[in-house]
Amino acid sequence: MSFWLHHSLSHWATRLIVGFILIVLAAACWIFSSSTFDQPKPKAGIILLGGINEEGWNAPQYRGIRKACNTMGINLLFRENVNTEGACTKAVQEMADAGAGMIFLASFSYSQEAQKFVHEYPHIAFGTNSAECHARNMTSYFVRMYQGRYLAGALAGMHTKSNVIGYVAAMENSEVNRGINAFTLGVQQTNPNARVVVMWTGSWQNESKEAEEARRLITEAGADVLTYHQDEPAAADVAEELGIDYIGYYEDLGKHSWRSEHALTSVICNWDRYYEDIIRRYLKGELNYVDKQWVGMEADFVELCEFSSAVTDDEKAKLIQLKERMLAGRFVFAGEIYDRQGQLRCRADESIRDDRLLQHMDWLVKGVEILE
Amino acid sequence: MNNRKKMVLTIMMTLLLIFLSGIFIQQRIVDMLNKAAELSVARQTEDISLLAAERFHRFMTPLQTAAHHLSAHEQDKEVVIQMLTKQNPQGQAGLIDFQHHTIGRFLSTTSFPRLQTAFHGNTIIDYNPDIGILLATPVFFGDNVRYVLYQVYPPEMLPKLFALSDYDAFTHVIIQYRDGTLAVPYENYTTKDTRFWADDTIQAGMQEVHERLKRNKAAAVYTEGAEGKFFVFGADLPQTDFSMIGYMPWSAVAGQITSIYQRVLFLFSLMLILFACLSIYLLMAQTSVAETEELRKARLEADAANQAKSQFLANMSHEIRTPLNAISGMNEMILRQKLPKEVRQYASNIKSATAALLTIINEILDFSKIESGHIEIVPTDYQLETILREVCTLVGLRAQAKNLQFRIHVDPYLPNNLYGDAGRIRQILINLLNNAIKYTPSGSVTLDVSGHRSENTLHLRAAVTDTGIGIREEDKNRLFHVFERLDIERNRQIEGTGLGLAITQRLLTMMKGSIKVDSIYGEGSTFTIELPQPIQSFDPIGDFNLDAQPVYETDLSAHTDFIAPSAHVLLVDDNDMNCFVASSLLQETQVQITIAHSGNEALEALQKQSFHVVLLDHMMPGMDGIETLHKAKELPNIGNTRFIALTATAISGSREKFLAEGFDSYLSKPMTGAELTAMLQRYLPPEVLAPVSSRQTPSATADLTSAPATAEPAAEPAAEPAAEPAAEPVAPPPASNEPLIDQEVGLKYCNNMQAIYNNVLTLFNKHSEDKIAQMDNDYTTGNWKNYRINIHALKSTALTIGCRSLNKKAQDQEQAAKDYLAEDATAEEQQQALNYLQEHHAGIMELYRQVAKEAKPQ
Repeated sequence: MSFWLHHSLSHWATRLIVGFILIVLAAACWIFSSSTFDQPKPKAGIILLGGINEEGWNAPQYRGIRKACNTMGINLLFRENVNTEGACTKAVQEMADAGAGMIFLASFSYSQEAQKFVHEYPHIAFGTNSAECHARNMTSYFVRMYQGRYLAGALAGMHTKSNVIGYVAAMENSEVNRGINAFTLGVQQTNPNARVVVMWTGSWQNESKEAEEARRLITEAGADVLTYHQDEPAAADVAEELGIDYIGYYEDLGKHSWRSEHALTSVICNWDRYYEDIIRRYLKGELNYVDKQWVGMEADFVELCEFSSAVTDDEKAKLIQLKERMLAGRFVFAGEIYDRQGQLRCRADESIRDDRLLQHMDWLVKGVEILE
Repeated sequence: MNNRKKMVLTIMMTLLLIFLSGIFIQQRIVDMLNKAAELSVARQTEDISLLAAERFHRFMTPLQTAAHHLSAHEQDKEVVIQMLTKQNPQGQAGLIDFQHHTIGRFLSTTSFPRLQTAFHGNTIIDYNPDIGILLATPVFFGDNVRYVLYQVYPPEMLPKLFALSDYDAFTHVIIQYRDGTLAVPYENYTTKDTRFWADDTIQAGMQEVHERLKRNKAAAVYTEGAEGKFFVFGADLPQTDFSMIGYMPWSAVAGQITSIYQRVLFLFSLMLILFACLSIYLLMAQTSVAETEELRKARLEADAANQAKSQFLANMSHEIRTPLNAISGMNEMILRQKLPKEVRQYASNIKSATAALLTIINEILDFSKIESGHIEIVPTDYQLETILREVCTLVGLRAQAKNLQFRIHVDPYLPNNLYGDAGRIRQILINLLNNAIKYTPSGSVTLDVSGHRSENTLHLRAAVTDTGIGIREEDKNRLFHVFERLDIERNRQIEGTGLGLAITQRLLTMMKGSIKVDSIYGEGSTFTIELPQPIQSFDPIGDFNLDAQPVYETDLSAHTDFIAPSAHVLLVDDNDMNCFVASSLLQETQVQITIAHSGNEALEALQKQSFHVVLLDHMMPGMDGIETLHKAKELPNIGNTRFIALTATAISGSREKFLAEGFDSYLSKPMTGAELTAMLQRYLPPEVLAPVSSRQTPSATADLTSAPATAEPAAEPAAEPAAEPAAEPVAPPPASNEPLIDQEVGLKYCNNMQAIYNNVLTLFNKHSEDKIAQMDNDYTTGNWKNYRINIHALKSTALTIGCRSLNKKAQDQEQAAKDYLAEDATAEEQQQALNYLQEHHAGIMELYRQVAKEAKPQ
């Protein structure tokens, strides 16, 4: 018995020691293999006004940033339906706690609220699409959508028979005005006789109002080409219903098979590339290097998506020509431009500087009509 | 040594593992250190990049100031350009408007693609490998950009203006355009440097840097190649398409790391050494374990051998005791005869030799019992005086036989009533005294008994002093060793096993006593034992003398002091000789003995009648003694029957075993007549015992004792010798010149008493005719059961009168009858038995008649 004890004891001791050594070795290997220098995956956050599946503005935003994050290998945090008073502040707080290094406030509406809290997070880089908000750690990100509007206008000008083009717009601000102006300049580029008739809906989302105004533009103003600047394509639906040509915005309307060739094209933004650019700049520490970052067609962020069969090859060729000219320096807002009041906004040998375009486009170009 | 191999393998594997993980860990440490260095270099690079950016901005500031001035004074275009050129001659200043008209240094927009973004209102820095670096800033008029003011720095100027070589002595930085072309080398950039940058590993490092720069502000990569160990690092310059790329030698960054390597190496070596030490220790431990393993095996083997020895001893004791029983029994029978002096002498010699042999066997047995731990000290109340008397009686005889003087001194104030194992104390004393006698050729042997009291315990002290050969000093230690006999040469003629003292010492130890020896070689020895014994009462022992010494027995023929003619004793033993010996020994007591040869027979007998005492052998075929006892105990009316175990199995613990099984007592074979009769005297009810009135009385009860080995003592009805003449012609006497009856044998069975014998012979003759008629009748009517009983009786009676031939034939015939009657006998066997019976019946009857005729008293 005692012999057995002795035997098994030494046996145990051996096993214990060998086991201990193995454990120590394994631990050492583990400790040394998990490098402490591999920094944790950076996290980016996005705060959305609507749901991530809400087509129009929100879903493409979410899809874009999701794809960009995957490409760049960072984690994405998101909050959807952040649309009540103070909700954005709370969402930012939560994201900061979760370790987000970059937060994108994906709505114009957040600018007022953001002004109050961005200073509290000096180590977080904020991105916004509002030009009205400024902070050291906040950069306004913009897409030169107006470049697409300009080409869309050129297409509408070539397509109109009635020389009346309808434009359902949300409200008067720099962004919407810029779109209307660029569109109108595009129309005038191909059809100097055409008029752009604008109707204000007063909100970003009001389908019935949008539909009603689209109807009025067609029936009352006689528009035979329609475009819009709203979060939803309600105007396009009316145009489709009435058999009128139309041009979409933000969303590739042509991809829906039920739409006819009247859906000439859409002005779209490649959000994934856009966000990839933002994230790259964030990773490179350049996100807040400038107040504003404005990119557009030169980086393929903005484009006209596939044309419908109603668009002829001549028209396409014209559009390509215009695009090339634009990218070569013949800017949209350059050369002689008058506003509706007849005031000269840009001399023939000038181009309008970016910060003016962004923040102070409080006028509409000559040739724009407002239908009350 | 499978374990050992395993062990070595384990150690080798572990060492290998440690070694491999050491390499792994070292590599990891190198990687980690380099990574850490890369990180710190990358941080440094950020600083350098800021410096680089700062350098560009230094040249931008005057340009912006000029642009600002121009915004207010459009007409000063030429002046401003001249002023810029003057201020900074290396930069060729110029102004371009929206229609690409230039003033000053001509510029094509296609040469610098970024230039047009200046018209959006941004300052830009651009590079063209042929033209150089362009710095441009817009000139605003209100909300709009009307001109872009710029300066171009041709390539040859660049190192002087923008080079970062002065960062520190080890670090060399170049500025690259985003496509990898060298924009600004450091000063003193030679072909050697070109070759360095073109090196494959450096190029690879640079590519890796550019790859990392896609996601990082700055990056550094460790490279190790033909050029040596370097860190290649880089950072993008913000708002430009430039990157600054540089390298610094590994030693400048990580010079201290080498010492860390050494320490890690040292630590690992230490670990290896420690493990090696541990392994060696474990191996040694393992070896000792293996040795223990061998020891264990050896011990097991030894235990097995010892067990075999014990078994052998037990077997031998049984095997030796059985014939010894016969020898001593027979010898005792011989001694009971009236013998010529010479024969008595021989028989006496046999007796003492047998006794000696028995002693040796007992000693061996005792020793084996002690060795195996089977012996137990069984304390009882005893009287010291009795023990001493017994011892002295026995030893005194021996001393006397050897013409030694035996003296005994007993302290008269010793308490007489003590508590202890009397048998063992007696044994010890006898051992010591025998030893003393054995080794004392002449002189005296003295036993001194004294003691001192402490409370209720008497420390009994007994000293045996002899005038013998003595013991050498150097031999004293070996005195109590097993099987050792001292002074072999001199003591060759002394018999003994050499176990006596060893047994004595062990018994004393078991009783918490001690023994010591004082001896002077050649003069004598004193063995002193001391033994604590609880005192039962303080009655003193008084004066002890050897008056009561028993007489020296010369004639054993009459020592029975009782007779019990009405006592019924059942003797059960499968061995005929044993039965015979036992019954012979008891002959004088006149008890009625029934013999059974097996357990079954015993049970049958017990069912038939009740017995006072059953002497039951243990070792029997079929049912053994214990089983028979258990069955017998279940019989009705058995309560008064006493059972005594008889066995030659004198191995350790058998007495206790038998008593525990329910025997009343136990007798070890070979037993003497005295033992047997003592046993009977003890266990027979007092009412059947009668004191011996006269030595010659047995003849009065001859009838009852005529057949000592007869199963049915009273089953011999008287019969007229009727068929005597008829039988004569049938079977002539086998050897007429030889008497059929051996008088000596017959006399022996009659305890050598001629009167009894004559009586027996007369009876035999008288009953023969009747018996023959009975058997003939049974034979013809086929009553084999009766026939068997009668022939069995004939078998016994024939032997009693001394006719072996008739006894033998009767026995065979009885066997045949038995076979025929056997319950499990097959028809064939029955037929065989019947044939035998038919074949021999007439012959036996004829022989019976002849024997009866011979037995007829003359």
